[in-house]
Amino acid sequence: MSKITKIIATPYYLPIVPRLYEMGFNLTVKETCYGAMISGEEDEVKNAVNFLREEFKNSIFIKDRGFLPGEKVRCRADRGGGGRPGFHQLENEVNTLPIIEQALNEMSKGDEKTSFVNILEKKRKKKMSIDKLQDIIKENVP
Amino acid sequence: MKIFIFPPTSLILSDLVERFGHEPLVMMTVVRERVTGPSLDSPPLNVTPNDVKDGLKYAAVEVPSGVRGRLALMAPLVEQADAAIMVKDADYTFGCVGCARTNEYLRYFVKRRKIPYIELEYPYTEEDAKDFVISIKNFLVNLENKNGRD
Repeated sequence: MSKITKIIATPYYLPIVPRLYEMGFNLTVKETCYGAMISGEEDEVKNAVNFLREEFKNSIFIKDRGFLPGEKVRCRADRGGGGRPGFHQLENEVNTLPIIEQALNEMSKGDEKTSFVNILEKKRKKKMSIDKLQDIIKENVP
Repeated sequence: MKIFIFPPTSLILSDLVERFGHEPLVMMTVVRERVTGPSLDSPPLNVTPNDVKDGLKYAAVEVPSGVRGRLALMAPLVEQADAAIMVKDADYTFGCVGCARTNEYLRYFVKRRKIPYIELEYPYTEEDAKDFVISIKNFLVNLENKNGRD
């Protein structure tokens, strides 16, 4: 079996690390600003992921990570500071997590079939055409 | 079913696909193979000179090596995919820094393969977020009903 690493991101603080320690998983756990990173044998990581999804439901978001925690190529400690490669995308998406969590909560409560029909009927906002923009400029710029 | 997500490193898409019971095809698993597998590369590299040569399968030699190197990692994911979920106009995929040409090629490649796909935009409001999540869920549910093919 090979070692794998997962990134666990949360929209706000959740006691992920204490709960993992309580359950006694055989993992390397690193607490981070966006949540936590877990690394270990594939089966153990999958068990931990299933446990966390049961425990925190829609409030945690999990993705794979290629590098192990503390890998010299990625870790800021060895690179002289600055965001590690990939952090800026993660930061961007973590800012969106609160509304995604809310959407998941509402979806699990509501009638999904009704929502699906609403989406089909909903008219999407369209971008303004260039011609219209040119007309506006001609009218307003002397 | 295997679902290609774009951007291939997206946390939200990767999580939603897995949450709704499918396997996301993500960049991180490809990088993991390269940096944890036994090899002579030191330090472990995301893209090796051989990848750039492999990229010739997908793009011509005039195409910048950065694009070809990236395609060598990402295009095989599209080849394995049964369906795709793509987010357009993400802030961090803009311009040279986001390697916009690779992104364009990947989206073209998905469309050329004629696998089922949806294109969405990242949500910025609560209502958009609800549409975003429900669209993905319904796409994946409908996919199961069609047995993965149109």
